[in-house]
Amino acid sequence: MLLVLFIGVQSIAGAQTTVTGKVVDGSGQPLPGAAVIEKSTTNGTSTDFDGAFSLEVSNANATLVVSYIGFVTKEVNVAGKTTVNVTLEEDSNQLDEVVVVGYGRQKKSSLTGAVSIIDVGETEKSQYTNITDRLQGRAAGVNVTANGEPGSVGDIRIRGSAFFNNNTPLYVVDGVILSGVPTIGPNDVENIQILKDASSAAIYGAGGANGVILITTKKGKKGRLRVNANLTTGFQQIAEGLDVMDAAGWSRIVRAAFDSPNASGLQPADAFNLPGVDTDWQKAVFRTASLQDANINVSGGGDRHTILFGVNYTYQDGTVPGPKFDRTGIRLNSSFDIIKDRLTVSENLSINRTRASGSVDEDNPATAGVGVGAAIDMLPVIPVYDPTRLSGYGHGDFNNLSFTANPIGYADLYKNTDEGTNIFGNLNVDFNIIDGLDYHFGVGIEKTHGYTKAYNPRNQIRRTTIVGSALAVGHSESMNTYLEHRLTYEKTFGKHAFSLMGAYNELEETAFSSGVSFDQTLDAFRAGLFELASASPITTGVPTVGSDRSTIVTQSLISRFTYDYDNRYLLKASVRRDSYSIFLDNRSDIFPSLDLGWNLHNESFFNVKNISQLKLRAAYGEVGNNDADSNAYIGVTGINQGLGGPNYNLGPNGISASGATRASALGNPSLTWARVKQYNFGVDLEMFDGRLAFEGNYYFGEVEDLLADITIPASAGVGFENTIKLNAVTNEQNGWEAALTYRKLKGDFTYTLSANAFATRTSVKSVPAGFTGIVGNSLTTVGSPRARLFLWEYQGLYTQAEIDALPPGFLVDEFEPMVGDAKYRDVNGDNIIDQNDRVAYGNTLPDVNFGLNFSANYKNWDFTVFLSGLFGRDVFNGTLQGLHGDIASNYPADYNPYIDGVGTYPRPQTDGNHGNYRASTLYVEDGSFVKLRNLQIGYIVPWKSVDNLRVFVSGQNLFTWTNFNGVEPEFEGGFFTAGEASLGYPVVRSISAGLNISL
Amino acid sequence: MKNKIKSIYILALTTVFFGCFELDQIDPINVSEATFWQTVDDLNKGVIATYDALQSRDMYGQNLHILYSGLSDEGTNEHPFEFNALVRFTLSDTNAFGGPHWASNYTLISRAYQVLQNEPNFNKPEVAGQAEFMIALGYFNLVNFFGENVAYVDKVQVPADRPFSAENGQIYTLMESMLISAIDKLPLSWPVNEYGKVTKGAAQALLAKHYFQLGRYADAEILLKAIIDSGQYSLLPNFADNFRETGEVNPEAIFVVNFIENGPTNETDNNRRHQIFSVSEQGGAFGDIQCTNMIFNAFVREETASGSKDSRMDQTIIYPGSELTYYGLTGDVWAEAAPNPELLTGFYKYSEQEHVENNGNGTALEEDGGTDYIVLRYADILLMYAEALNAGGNTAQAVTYVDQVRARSGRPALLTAYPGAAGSQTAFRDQLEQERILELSGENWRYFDLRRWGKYNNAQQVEDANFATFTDGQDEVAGIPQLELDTNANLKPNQAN
Repeated sequence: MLLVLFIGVQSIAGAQTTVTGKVVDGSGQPLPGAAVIEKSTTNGTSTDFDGAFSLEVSNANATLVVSYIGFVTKEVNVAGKTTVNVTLEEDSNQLDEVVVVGYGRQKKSSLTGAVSIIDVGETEKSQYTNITDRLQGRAAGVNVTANGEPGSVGDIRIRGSAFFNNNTPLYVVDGVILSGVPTIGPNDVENIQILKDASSAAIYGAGGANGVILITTKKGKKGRLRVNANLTTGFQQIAEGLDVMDAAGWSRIVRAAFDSPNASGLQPADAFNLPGVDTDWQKAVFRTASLQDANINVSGGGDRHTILFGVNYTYQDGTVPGPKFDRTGIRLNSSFDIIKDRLTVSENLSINRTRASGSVDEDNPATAGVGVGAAIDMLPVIPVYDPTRLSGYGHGDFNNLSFTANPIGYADLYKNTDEGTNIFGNLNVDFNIIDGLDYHFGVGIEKTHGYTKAYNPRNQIRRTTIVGSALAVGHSESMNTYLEHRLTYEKTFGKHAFSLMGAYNELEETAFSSGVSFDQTLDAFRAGLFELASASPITTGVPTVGSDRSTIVTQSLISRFTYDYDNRYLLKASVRRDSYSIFLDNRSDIFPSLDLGWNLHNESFFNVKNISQLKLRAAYGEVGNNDADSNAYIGVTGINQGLGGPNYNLGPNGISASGATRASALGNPSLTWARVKQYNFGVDLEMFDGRLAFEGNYYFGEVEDLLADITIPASAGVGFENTIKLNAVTNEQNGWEAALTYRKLKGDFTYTLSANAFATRTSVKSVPAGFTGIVGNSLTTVGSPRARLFLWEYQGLYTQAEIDALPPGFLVDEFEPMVGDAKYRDVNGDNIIDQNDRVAYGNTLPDVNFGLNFSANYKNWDFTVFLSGLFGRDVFNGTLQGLHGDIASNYPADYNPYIDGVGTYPRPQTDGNHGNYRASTLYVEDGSFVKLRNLQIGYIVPWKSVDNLRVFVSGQNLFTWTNFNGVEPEFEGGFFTAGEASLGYPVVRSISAGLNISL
Repeated sequence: MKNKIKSIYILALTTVFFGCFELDQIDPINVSEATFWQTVDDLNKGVIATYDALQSRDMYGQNLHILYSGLSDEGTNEHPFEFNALVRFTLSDTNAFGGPHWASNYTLISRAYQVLQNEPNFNKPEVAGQAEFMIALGYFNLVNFFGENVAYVDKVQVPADRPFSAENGQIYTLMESMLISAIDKLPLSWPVNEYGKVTKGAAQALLAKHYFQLGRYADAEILLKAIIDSGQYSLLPNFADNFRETGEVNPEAIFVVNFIENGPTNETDNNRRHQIFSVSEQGGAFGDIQCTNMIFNAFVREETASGSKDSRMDQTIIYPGSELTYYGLTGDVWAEAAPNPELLTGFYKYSEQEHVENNGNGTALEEDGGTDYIVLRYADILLMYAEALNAGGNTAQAVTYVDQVRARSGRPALLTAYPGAAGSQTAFRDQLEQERILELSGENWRYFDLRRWGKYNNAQQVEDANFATFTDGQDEVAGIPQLELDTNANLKPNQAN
């Protein structure tokens, strides 16, 4: 007692027992908010924004425990000193890293599901302009198929595609569930966690079946004001064109096609004569485009607030004429402690504006194939400009057969713009009610506004099609509102740690649109004026006007329980009930999960040298997916009436008469979510003080009640190839993923090597009655992997001897074979090669996808190389088949059909007669590839006036190793047609230079 | 204290935001089918939708003309594309023509059954009669194209329905009962502002057509006589006025499909036939279907026999030497660009001349196509009646009706030009073929004539070389669309699959 008094007096009396100091990281940067606690007491403080602290300790021999998230906790004996400066080392094994898991946070060490934590720093080295594309190859089980069209966002798939339409994961940004893909600037992102297995995603219930991407944006940090800026400039080009024929090469083959017996069509007398034209269309169309990206943010924080604001700008020019994209974004994130350590109010706000112009309209037959496809298809005998044509642009006619729209003419004449604004903001209130019991309230609003305008003058840039002048203007808006109330209780009794969370949330997604268009019914505009007010319709031209509105509501009740015994035995259970306005008869459902984990390395018996962590995990979860979310009212069969409806005209002068009939989209009121039931088994291993880390997962399960688009017979009267959504298909799915990281963090030369690999298998377990599984050139049957190719089996070219040996009446696609025709296997032995001779072939799902990243630092230099790709995939090259078989498009340069006794490909034909150039195994190729996605060299300029100044040069998609004979081996394919490659906008190569600066 | 007040305010605010949104959402735009059919007006809209189906590109708006002309000996082309396989009977099961033809006629049938099934609530027999006619017309197009074993649909379908192939005779019976009922319910004519709706005469004519294809001439004769005796119909003084937009009620048209020039394109209420049919590809015309020399030869025979050129010739076809221009270009200019020097003619009928000229640039555009298409024409009825009479042995009486048609175009009487034409039943039948070519070429009936007369076979290559690749026993019908077989296990392939 006396002693205590004495100390008390002492402490009041003087400064000797007060310890002051500074906490910094390895590079000397102060660490604001680090905890400094006197060991074995509750006495403690935290550092201010300069990393400084001051603490009265009970005796001069006290030990300080200094901790900071992401750093190794350090114990320091005061040893009589009054000033103690502490340097914390970054925690390489990051066992106590806290990760966002949805509706809360969890220590990484207690995770029991499959969660990928993305190294955002590495993704920032890639120059993709959106966050999704930057995830390519960064995590096992996560695949992104990007394309090079300016402004487009790649398709991201977590553990492959399980569904027919919607395979896009759920995005949750700062706790707010989005209804689509975020448009935020990628440099605004602080961290990303990906919930991959059904158990982890089950907390998101009916939205979680494609996995969940949790994004947290950058926040201000307590401490002094900081300024960060990144500037990049560079250029892009299409990495690979396709070598095609010149005029002489093309006309030689096309003449042979017309000359062949049984050719459809007559060759006009003066056809294919070279008019002195030999256009290299790819050279005329492909161009080097500029790329710019800049972002800057300013952040800081005081004792009870933090703030960050930033601005970013991206500009991307098209690598073909026409498309352009730019994005401007601003962000403001801030937080205030209303009552210190008790009540915090925080907000995140971002506004993004995007503009895309000249985008390619693939749905319009008059302009289909514009851009890359057109540059390949267009015939060399057509000039780019031709003053004798209506619009002055060269195009096909009866003598040079192309139907392709002139891509240069298209870019000049079609003025399309697509402008969008996205405002996304949320407000959070976090209130600590009593010790261990916290209340969280969140409200988020995402508002998008879109404006599209498309104008074209009257023109002809394509054979036979004269297009009248048209103007379409459309506005669209969406408004998503998210609400969340959440209570969390956490308590530890000795070795028992519990947590219990309960939440309620609602999401309302409303969309509006309106538009006016004159479809080919305009005269010209006055020069330069392309607005409705200055449009002059032709005499009887009538505009089409329309508007639309829809609302979708989701209501959810969520709860989660975790239990941790001595950091050895882990248990997590969650249950979520979702209700959804789209569904009528089956509106609500429950999605549970249960996980077990065992931290083996914490057992007393476990004593393996060099193994710092060994965790075994087992998890089961159920999640849902709504594959019908494009239509808010899909449960109801509507009536088609009104403008554009089934109207008619009566009387000799055509008086309008309104009609009404069943809409061709038939509703299904009994629709409900597809349900993934999945088991996940995993192991986490860390060795050599965290230098080597391994994470592996194996998963299997079923996807039940898949919403499939089942073709309705046209005899039902709703059109040909019309479909209805049914919960009709059950799939089995299994897969594995592995990630291995090795870090060398000591010394002048440090490096990190990380590799991941994964594969997913899906096979169909049950299908509805009447479902044949034949889609395109692919077949999906019960018990087999999905989307196998379904083709004729090509056996080479017929020789005379083989033809002589054929039984009488042998027909290939209705014709008797001739020398040089394609020979196909007569599978059913009926001496007729027809649709019944198709065979299931190959494996269109990759055996393995992988990513490999190596980043190294030597003194001020850093170096990163990133490769990704896939192996073991059979691909049907439909593009090549189309080019070979189509007399109206150019031929590849290496195409050598059988003409006059010479050639390796089947005899050229004007049409598909004789079965030549029909879908067959001739066009099946090995779709494996490895891409050098990123190569970057950086140098930190040693300049004292700034915290950090780094300059870099970076190359993206520099090289692709593949045997695939096309423009782009990287594509996703449809669910039922996963192996059918089509020609899209190929991935572009870019080279850029930039600097990162921090003050 | 102040902080506590702040926090109370903030937390109180959060309770305001508890549960804002309703799960019950009603589509603000579309009425549901289940609640739609409430009034007579709704029923009338339902029947209008059946007419709308006829305007579609897959029906009288384009494809029907390609199919019936292309598959008969009057139409051909020199395309290297699928159009060429069509005219040479070498289409694959997955061709682009069969599916749309199948689908659009079943769409017509579905729309009609929606009306027919709701009509009893309102007791509007004249509406039911129109729907019954449409069902019969849909099946008429289906059975004459795919054969009679198409999917048997006799009610509004639900998505799970997989109808069976019709048994022999089943659809014929259905068509007959529909049309007999329609004849009973439909009026002889409609007020002028409803001109275009199905009349009793139209139902009688379609049933007569149906009986003709089954060889039931005697049954048809009664119906044809009733049409003639109804006093509703007469021949226009000017043959050519049938094929252009006059803005007046046409007493010669028994059933028309109405089209509108420059209407909203999203309602496809214009006709694109004029762009598809031409000698060659120029001036916005595609040259997808041109005519064979069979028609040209028939007019030459007529000129030889009667000593004067038939005035219908230039109104029917464009050819080198025609006195008319086609999109402002002479027949010689068109022939110059034609791919085949042996084949220099194209259809002039329904060519939208006056509208194309109004464009001021001699270029055919889709939206020009405002000319109504006459499905059933009184001149055809007169020639059919003659054919029925001849089949019943009344050849002498039949000549009168042929002469009515000839006289309108200033042709000499039949027996003056062709003295032996009524010499026998067979001779008269053969002469009727000539008369039908002169009057009706390009109006899709040649296909039905060949089938009825047993001439739809490989031997017809004497008139049209395309028939050289006609496989007897197979190509009499088109294959059931492969996709339909893939989706409906109850449907059986036909001889052409």
